Amino acid sequence: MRSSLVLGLGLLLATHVAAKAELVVGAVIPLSGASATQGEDQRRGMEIALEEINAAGGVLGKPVKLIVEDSGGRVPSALDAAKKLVTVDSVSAVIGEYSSGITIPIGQYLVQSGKIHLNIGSSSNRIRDLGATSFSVLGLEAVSSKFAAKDVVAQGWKKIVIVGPNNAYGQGMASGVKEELEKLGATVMSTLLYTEGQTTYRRELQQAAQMKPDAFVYSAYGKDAALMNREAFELGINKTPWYAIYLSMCTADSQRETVVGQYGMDLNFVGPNGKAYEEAYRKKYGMSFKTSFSGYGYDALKLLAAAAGKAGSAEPAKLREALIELGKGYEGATGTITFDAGRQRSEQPYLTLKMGQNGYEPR
Amino acid sequence: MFDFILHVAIIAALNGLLALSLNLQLGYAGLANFGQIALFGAGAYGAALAFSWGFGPFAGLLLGLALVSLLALVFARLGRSLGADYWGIATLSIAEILRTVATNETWLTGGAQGIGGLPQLFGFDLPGTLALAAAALLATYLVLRGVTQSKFGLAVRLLREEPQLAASLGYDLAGLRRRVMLISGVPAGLCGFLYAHYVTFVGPDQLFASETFFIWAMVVIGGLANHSGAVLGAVALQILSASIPFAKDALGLTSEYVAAARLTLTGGGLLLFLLLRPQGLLPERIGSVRA
Amino acid sequence: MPEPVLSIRGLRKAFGAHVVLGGIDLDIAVGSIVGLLGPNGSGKSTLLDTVTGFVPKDAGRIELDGRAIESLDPGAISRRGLVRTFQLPRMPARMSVREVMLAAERSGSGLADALLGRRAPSALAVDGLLERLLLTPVAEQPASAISGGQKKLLSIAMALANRPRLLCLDEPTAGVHPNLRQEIMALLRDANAQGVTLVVVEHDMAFIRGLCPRCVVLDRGELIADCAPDDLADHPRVVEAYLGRAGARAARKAA
Repeated sequence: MRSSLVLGLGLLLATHVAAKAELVVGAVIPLSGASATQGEDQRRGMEIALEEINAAGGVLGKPVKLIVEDSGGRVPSALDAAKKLVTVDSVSAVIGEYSSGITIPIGQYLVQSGKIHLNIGSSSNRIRDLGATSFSVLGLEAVSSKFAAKDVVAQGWKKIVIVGPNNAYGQGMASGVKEELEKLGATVMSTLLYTEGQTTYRRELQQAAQMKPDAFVYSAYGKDAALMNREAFELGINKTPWYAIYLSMCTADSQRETVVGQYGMDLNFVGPNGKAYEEAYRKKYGMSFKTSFSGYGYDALKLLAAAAGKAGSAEPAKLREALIELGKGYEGATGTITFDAGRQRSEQPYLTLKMGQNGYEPR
Repeated sequence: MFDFILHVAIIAALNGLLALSLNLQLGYAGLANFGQIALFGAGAYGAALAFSWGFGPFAGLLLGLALVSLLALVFARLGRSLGADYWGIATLSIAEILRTVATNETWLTGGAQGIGGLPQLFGFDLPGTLALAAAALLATYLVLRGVTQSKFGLAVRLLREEPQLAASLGYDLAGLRRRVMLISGVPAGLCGFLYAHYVTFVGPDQLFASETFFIWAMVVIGGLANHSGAVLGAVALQILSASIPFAKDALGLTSEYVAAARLTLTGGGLLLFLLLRPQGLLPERIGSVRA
Repeated sequence: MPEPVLSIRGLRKAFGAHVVLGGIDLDIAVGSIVGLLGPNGSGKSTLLDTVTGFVPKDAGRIELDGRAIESLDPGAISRRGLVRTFQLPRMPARMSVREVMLAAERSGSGLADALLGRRAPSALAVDGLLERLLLTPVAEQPASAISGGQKKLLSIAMALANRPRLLCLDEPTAGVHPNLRQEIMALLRDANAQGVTLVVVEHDMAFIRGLCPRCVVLDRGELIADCAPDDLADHPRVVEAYLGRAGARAARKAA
């Protein structure tokens, strides 16, 4: 009698534990609003990862569940989404967002709730201070700025004008690049932060051109980037070299002829994992990367699945330990992922590129 | 799930403060404020700036109230020589200018990356925060109702309906506008302060003009010149808004529908009510002031 | 006269090239009732509007109880004691008649009063006043829904609520039922007995004769007569103003 009771209780416990063993991951990304293009691309990366993971049998004996919520590009809706994912959907981890202004508040909430937070889009150095369960799959500003500055100076350019959007990304990029350039002895003559969504950027471009720099270092995306490249081309300003931070993103929507000859850096998609990912993306979406951010979404979900498999559990505390372990050297699509002591990506392999007639090629 | 409900309730209460504030301006005084979000921003940035300078939340509250009062006076001053339609545009412009200043003046406001790390007022205690928000809402409701159910409230309504008549009776129209703006600034600024300490982060992205649009929807749908209407509009819209992702899950739709549904709810709702039932869910009670 | 309550010197107003007021000089004695007459287009309403601050003047001096008021806004002029009614009174659509009547008296309408919960004592008096004006049946209706005559009555009672020094009425009986005209006259006589000086712009000669011992007549922006109402019929310029030159000759022939 007693043994059957113990057996029964044991089975109950086992099924309870087994039920908890499913990995449920949430994502808060901008699927509407100003950054909808980047958010959609982040989702694409996650979906490809999800398909691959579940095709290979999932994790902990079950398919991984991904719940994607739209942040709407606003803090209130992003917070509603994060709270829903944590308190209703009982996720172990949340991936997101894109804008630092949103990543920071939801990251803080996630850390307070003891859930894993994976940043895949914001590069503000503030992300570093979010807390013990927050990780960055994306290198923060310091990482990309260092690389870009070194590359720029290596071309022999001394007098630089920096161009970027007047938002969290652009401000962070500009200040980071400026700091690194000046460390290497270059001079930043001016920083031009443009207001997004304008119908023309001629005035800004002409203002920048008047400085007569050796090169323009810029980062932009979407229609703004395409428009700026076209107008720079029309005004002949592209005769001065333009250096793009995340070349593929800056030129994704631009007419080829307006961007031929641009220099730049970008994520390394040429390694073995990167290549496979690029092919999968092309196959599923019939085009090359829309932005440079999809790969991080892919890597984030893959990392979480790997961590759950390694820990044998979907509990945040266990996931955290596994992530730190994996973070000693994980082969992601965006290159080898290593976390520093603060769980931020410490290395990021980049490519040095130039825009040719048939697309960007390595230098 | 319970925590989520608490969160929704907190946001609903805070939005209620904004709705009561706009309702006093728009519903009772006929002041079409298209820069309402800036009043919220004054309170939020007051909290954030005080924190960034090393002061405690009480100093943040004082600074927030000071800033919102200053802004309210600026808005009121604009109204002196501008017709109603132009005043709306002017308030919108000022709100946008302030957002741009917040975005650009990195040395002061942290720029586009904002100011983070503000302490929460009850640790991480949701029921405590809800109690605070609800208390603020109740206090605002009672004070504003007292204000509008008085002779002062009659004077404000007269200002809204027949300003020439009011002037011929000797009412100081500019003074009335000033007082209305100052009184309605307080709950809006308070909301900004409480929200800043709840979300622990303040940034210029929270000050887009589209946020004012949401507040207008609450007030128009809830009922202009009806305090209960304003609160009802805020609560209803927040509950519906927060339910959309659940509906998406239940119906098996993808996340794109969430944005479309949100827009339909607020934009569509606003339009529908303006066209078919402009008095809102709870209409104004004419003749309610007995004084 | 001893110091007049209202003193106007050289008041001019032109709308573009059209001169509406061509230099008006006028004194109104304290406690008097003065009728202001003139054919349509003579400038009566403009005179009223410029004196009370609703329309800016081009030139001239206006003094109320010896103090200049020409640069004040209408609200401030009203607070000094110079109140006016409108020819076509507009009443609020989203306030009841009783609320509008309550709003007429400014005392107790401050924000401090509201916040401290100080109630104005005038509520009872309002009900009595509405009773007297026969407005009790419509007291709870939107004020814009009552008849034109009722609105006129209401606006006059409201104008008196703050005990003005001088009340200027713009055609108080226009569009009003004859029965109500007596009530208006009574209201104004009572107010005058309590010290309110009255200037009444009117066309109704019976009303003028019954109320105003003194009349001034305006024609094409100029004061052409200042006499008792009974003397108006014999005043040649007045007759000419109303009937035109040809009509005046005809009238003289007929007399």
